[in-house]
Amino acid sequence: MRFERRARRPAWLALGAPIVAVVAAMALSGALIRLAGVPATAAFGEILAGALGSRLGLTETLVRATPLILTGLAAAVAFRARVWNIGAEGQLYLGAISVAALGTALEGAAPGIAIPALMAAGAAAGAALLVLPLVLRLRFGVDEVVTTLLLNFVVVLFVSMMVEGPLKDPMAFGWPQSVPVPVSAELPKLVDRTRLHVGLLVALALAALVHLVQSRTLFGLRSRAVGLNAAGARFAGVPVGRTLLGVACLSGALAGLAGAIEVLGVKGHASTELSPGFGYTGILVAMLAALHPIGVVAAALFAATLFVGADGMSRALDVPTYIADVTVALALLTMLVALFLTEYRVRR
Amino acid sequence: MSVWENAILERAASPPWTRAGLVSAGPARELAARLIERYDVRGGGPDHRIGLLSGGNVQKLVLGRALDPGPRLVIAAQPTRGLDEGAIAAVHERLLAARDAGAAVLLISEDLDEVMRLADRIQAICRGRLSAPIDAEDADARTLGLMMAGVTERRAAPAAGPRDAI
Repeated sequence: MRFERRARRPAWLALGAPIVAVVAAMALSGALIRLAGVPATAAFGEILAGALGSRLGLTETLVRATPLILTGLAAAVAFRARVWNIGAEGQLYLGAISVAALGTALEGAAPGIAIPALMAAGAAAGAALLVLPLVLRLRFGVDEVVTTLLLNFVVVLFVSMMVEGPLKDPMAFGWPQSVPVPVSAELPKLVDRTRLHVGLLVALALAALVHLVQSRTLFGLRSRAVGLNAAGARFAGVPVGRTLLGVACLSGALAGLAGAIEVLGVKGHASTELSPGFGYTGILVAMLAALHPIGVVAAALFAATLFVGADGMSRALDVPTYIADVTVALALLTMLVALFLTEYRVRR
Repeated sequence: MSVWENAILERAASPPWTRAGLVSAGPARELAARLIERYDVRGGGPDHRIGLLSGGNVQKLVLGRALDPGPRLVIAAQPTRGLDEGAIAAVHERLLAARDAGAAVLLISEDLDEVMRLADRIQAICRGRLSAPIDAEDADARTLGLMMAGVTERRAAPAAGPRDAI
C-alpha cells in the first residue's frame, strides 16, 4: 500500500473530512463511555440535551464558544504563517488583566467609549506579548514554541500577583480577584436573564474578517506564502520579517481580545480562574478547522457543546466530565488522519 | 496557494495587482494564464494549486514570473538543476531570449555543458579568485578545467619555468 498525492481536492472532500473525523471521534469516545458502563447513545444524548436542549444550555454553549472562536482564530492565523503561537492562554490573561487595570480609569465613561477602548487595550496587550517572542525568533533564532508556551506561566503568575496585590478587590471577601470593571463597560446581553453577550457577535464578525484578510489582501497572501515556504517567499520579494510581525500582532490581538471579552462580558473582573484553558483548546479548535477561519467557528461550537454538555451528562450518568476533553482530543487525531486522506489517496 | 497567487507574489505590492491592500484576482488570473501559455507551463490552470505542479513546470512559471516584466539584469543561479531535459531546454531558450531582448544575463552554473551552450563570456571562480574572462568560442573542456583549477593564462605559459624550481 502506498500514498499518492491527489491532483485535485473536490469540495465535497474538503467539507466532508471534518464531519467524518468528528463522527469517528464520537465513535471512539463512545467506546470509552461504554467501558465506563453507560451506553454511548445515552451519554451523547445527555450531552446534546444539556448543551443544546434548553434556552440556558444553548446560551451557555454560545458563551463558551465565544472565547474559543477568538483563541482558535489566533492559533489559525499564526499557524498558517508557521508562527507557532502556543501562548494564546498567556495573551488572553494579559488582555484580561489589562482591561481590569484600565477599567477603573474609565469609570463613568459612556459605554460607546469604554467598551471599544478596553477591547483595544486587551488586544494591544495580547499583541505585545506575542511580538516579543517573535522578535526573539527573528533576531536570535529563539524557538517561539518554547518562549510562547513558557510565557503562559509567567503571565498567569503575574495576574496572580496583581489580583493578590495592587488590583485586589477589597470588596471581594478576600477572594483573589481584581476590582470589577465599571458597569458602563460591561457588554450588553444578547438574551435577557442569560450570560450570552454581544462578544459572540464580535467573535463571529472577526472570523469573517480574518477570512477576508487571509484570502483577499496582500498581507494575507504574503503570510500564507511565508507559511508555505519562507525562503521561497523571501526570494519572491516578500518582506518576511515585517509580514511575520503583522501575523504576530493579529494573532496576539485576537487572543488578548478573548481575555478582554471574557472580563467585560462574563466575569466583570479578572482572576486566575478566568480561563479553563481557552488558549490551549483554541489550538485544538484551529487544527480541527484545518486552520480555516470559518471552520474555526464550527469547531469552537463543537468543542463548546461537548464541554457544556459533559457537565450535565456527568451528573446524570456518572461518567467523568473528562470525556469531553478526550473527545475533543480524539477529534484532533481523527481530523489529522482525515486531512492526510484529503491530500493523498491510497494506492494498492 | 494557487498558481495565480504565486504568479503575482513578486509584484503584488504595486497597483494593477493590489488596490488599497486588496488583491485583484481578475488581472492576476489573466497574468497567470498568460504566463502559463507563453512559458508552456503544464499541469493546471491559474486556479490550480502550484504545489501540485512538477518541478520543471514550477521552474518555468517562476522563470516567467521573473522574465515577463522584461528585466534589464537577470541573475540565474543553477537555473536547471534537478530538471528534466525538456524543461532544461525551455529554460535555456528563455534565458537566451532575455539576452536577445537586451538584458544582461549573469548565469551561475556548475554544469559545463550548460555554460558552454549559453554563455557569451565565461569566468571561473577558484578559491575566491575570479579568472579573466574568455570568449565562449575559445572555451573547451580543457581550458575551462584549467580555469577552474586556478590556472590562468599568464601562469599557464611558463608553467615549467624557473619559478617551480625555487
